[in-house]
Amino acid sequence: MGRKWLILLAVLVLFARLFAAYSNPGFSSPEAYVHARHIDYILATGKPMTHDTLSWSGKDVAGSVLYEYLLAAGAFFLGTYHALKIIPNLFATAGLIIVYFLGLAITKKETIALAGAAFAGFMPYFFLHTVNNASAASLGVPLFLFLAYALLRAHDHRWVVIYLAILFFTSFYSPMILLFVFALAVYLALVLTGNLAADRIELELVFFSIFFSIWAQFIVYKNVLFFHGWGIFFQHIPDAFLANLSHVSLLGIFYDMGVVPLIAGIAVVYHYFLKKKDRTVYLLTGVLLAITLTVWLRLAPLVDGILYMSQVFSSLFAEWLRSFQKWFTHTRAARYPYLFTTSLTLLFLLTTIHPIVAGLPELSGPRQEYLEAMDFLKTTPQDSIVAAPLDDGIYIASIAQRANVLDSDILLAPSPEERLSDIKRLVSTHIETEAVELMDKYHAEYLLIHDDQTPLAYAPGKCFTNAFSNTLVTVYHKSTLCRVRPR
Amino acid sequence: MKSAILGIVLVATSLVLRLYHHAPAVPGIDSYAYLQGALALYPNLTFAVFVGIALTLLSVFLTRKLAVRLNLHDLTWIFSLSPYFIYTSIFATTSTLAQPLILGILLAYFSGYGMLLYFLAFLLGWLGIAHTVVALLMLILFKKKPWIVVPSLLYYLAHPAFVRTRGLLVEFGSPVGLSSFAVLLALVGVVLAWKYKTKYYWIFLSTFLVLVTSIWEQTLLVYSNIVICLLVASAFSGIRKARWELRDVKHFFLILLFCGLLFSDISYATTVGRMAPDQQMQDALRFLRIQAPHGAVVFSSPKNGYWIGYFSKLTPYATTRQVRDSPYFLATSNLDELIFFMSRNEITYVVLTRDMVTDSWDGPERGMPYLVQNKDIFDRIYENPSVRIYHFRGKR
Repeated sequence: MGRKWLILLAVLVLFARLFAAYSNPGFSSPEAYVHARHIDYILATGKPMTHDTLSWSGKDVAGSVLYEYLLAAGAFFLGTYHALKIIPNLFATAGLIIVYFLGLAITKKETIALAGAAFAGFMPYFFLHTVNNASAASLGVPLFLFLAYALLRAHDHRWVVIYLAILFFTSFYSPMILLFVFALAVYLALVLTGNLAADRIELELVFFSIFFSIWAQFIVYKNVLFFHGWGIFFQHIPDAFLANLSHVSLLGIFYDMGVVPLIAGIAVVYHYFLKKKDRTVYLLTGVLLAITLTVWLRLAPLVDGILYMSQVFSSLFAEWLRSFQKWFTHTRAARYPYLFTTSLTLLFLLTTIHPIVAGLPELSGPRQEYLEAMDFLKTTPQDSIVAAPLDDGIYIASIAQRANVLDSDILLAPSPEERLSDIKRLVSTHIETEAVELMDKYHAEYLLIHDDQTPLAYAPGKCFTNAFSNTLVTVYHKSTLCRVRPR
Repeated sequence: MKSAILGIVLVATSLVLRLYHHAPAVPGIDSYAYLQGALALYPNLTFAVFVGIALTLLSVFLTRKLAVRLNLHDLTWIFSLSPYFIYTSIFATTSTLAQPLILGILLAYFSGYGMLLYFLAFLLGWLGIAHTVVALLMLILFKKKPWIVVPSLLYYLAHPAFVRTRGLLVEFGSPVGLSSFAVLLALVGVVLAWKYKTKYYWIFLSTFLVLVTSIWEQTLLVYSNIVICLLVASAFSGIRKARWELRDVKHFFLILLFCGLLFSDISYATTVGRMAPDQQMQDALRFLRIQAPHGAVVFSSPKNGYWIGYFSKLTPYATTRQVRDSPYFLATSNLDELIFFMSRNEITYVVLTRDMVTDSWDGPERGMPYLVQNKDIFDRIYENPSVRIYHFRGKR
């Protein structure tokens, strides 16, 4: 009975996701455009892109290519655009099925687990951050949850094999596996301090997982570790390269994560710390603590941390709902059973659907005027280098297919801090010679600026001519005759 | 030797790679800093490598004896698969000699050969201030007479020289160091050995001290490596002997640990195979040796200083241990300032490398590479794809 409703729920969530994704012709984040370039490269050559000639005017590409290959397999049948719209949403929808089984493992009640899965499926933060940007987290989060679920069932030999297979895949899929490993360590600490007997099979798997996942990261990120050194762990990179931290507020996060699952999840963690003992809740608590700590220490990106946390809260929400339902049956209101269902539905609509609907307009891709500027850049000589603010870098490489001076893909990037400060100086300086010198430093011929920025003091002028302009952006061309001679 | 065969193969791989790239057999900056001071001992680079390999093979032999004595049968192959094994085999530094000496001291202590222990500690004490302090501490910990190293201690206290560590783990870009995977596994070794903490607290304390201080003093890495190898061997043996519910996972785990150590070493072997100086640098500096008068001062990046000294036999303006004001003048775009600086310091040659162009100036038309294009002031006397040499004519 519950399974049928689960399938129906999954279909509903998938439909809602596809509707939201196809409501906007573009993609809501540059990440999707990067994936698009990689997929096209894989489809054309069969090999992963190891050197990107456009990003940072040419740099090596680092990291796992598993996600791109999965998308490329879909793109082979659907085309790149539809693969980027459909496949990540299929993955993300699978997440609610795992939340359902985790909820079922905790509560042993199908309807309650189903309610938890419904909240997970429409969790605003997860929905809005994975629906139209082809985010790798759309598969990463379900894999993460599935690993936790498989570990809890590891006393069955078949699940040991499943766990190892998923561990193998996830370790080479995303560095977020290190978060899972950290969560396992916290889980073991909770089990031991909670006086629960440590399961030997679990211990062995945890021990193996720690070493395997770390080894896998050494293999996948060998060049990155060698290039960046220790700094990569502590995100020794300017804030500008981190995901929109300035726009994040704590209240906003609470609202986007869904107030009810969040409060319910915290209540369950608190309750289990003090009174009850349960391995599943301890494991999910371990995940939450690990994510909170790593995000707080800036070892993991904030956006990814919240994405992973949001689905864990949905699983814990099921346990809260079970306790609440139990309490409800002992109150006078129990005479009106529909009151419970109605209030739950209202809560659901208010805390999930409403933020999603409110957030949909933000899912739109680049504006038409912006795309016109990209079309213009496409007409420039193929080896042109375009200097532009950080946020435009990926669009220049992906849509206009021209080399940029910098973009947000910082791994293996040459002197990112220096380039960022040079670009800032380029758009703020009043001295034309300095601008020419900076453009020459990166062999850039074009400069793109947004019209809402402070106008350039030196352009249009002798060295910088207006090459393209509309209401959103202006592109200047630097004369090749202008050069600064040394003293 | 059988258990060390993989490690020896990887050392050979590094050397073959260097040969393939026509690079000098000895890589690194430290090697040439040492070789310049020990020219009488090493007539050429091949001999230096030969000595290094002979001493490392001696280390393998001593490690094997130690493994039997300590009942840690995995110690030999773990030692031979450490990146430091490659380092001591190919790089010419005092660590190459310190490694068999420390292993000999440990073996002499466990075998009860007191005189041999004193002799080896005495020799170790003369390798540098850090080695002297280690020899002194070991003699104190072993409850032996520490005065044997007092002469070397007094000498080095008057002439102290330290080598700053440029990274601890080879996977994180350090040209010399430990394997991250081994360090991680060593933590398991610490956990397994923790039950002996009260009985052998001094071993724990000194181990911790050596590991921490090697973050700052590169010379101590040779001791850290031996400590890490011992801990890894005890962890490996502990995991192998433990009864596991999931036997297959145990086998996977042991294979994983082996692969982790092996891959780390392979990665380091290939890095060493490509490490500077290369053939082009050697050719350029040998050209300069013929071209330039004896005693001429050469300006370049401090990283090239010891290579200039060794291959061209001329005087480098700056070295990694004496950087002086070279970074400023490498970056300057003021020609008059540069001329004044070079005339004042009697610099007659400038050596620019491809690495310098990408590292220091982010392009060929900035800083010094741009200024040396002035043909009235600088003559380009040599050029190959990696190195350009300019002769400074003097004032305009």
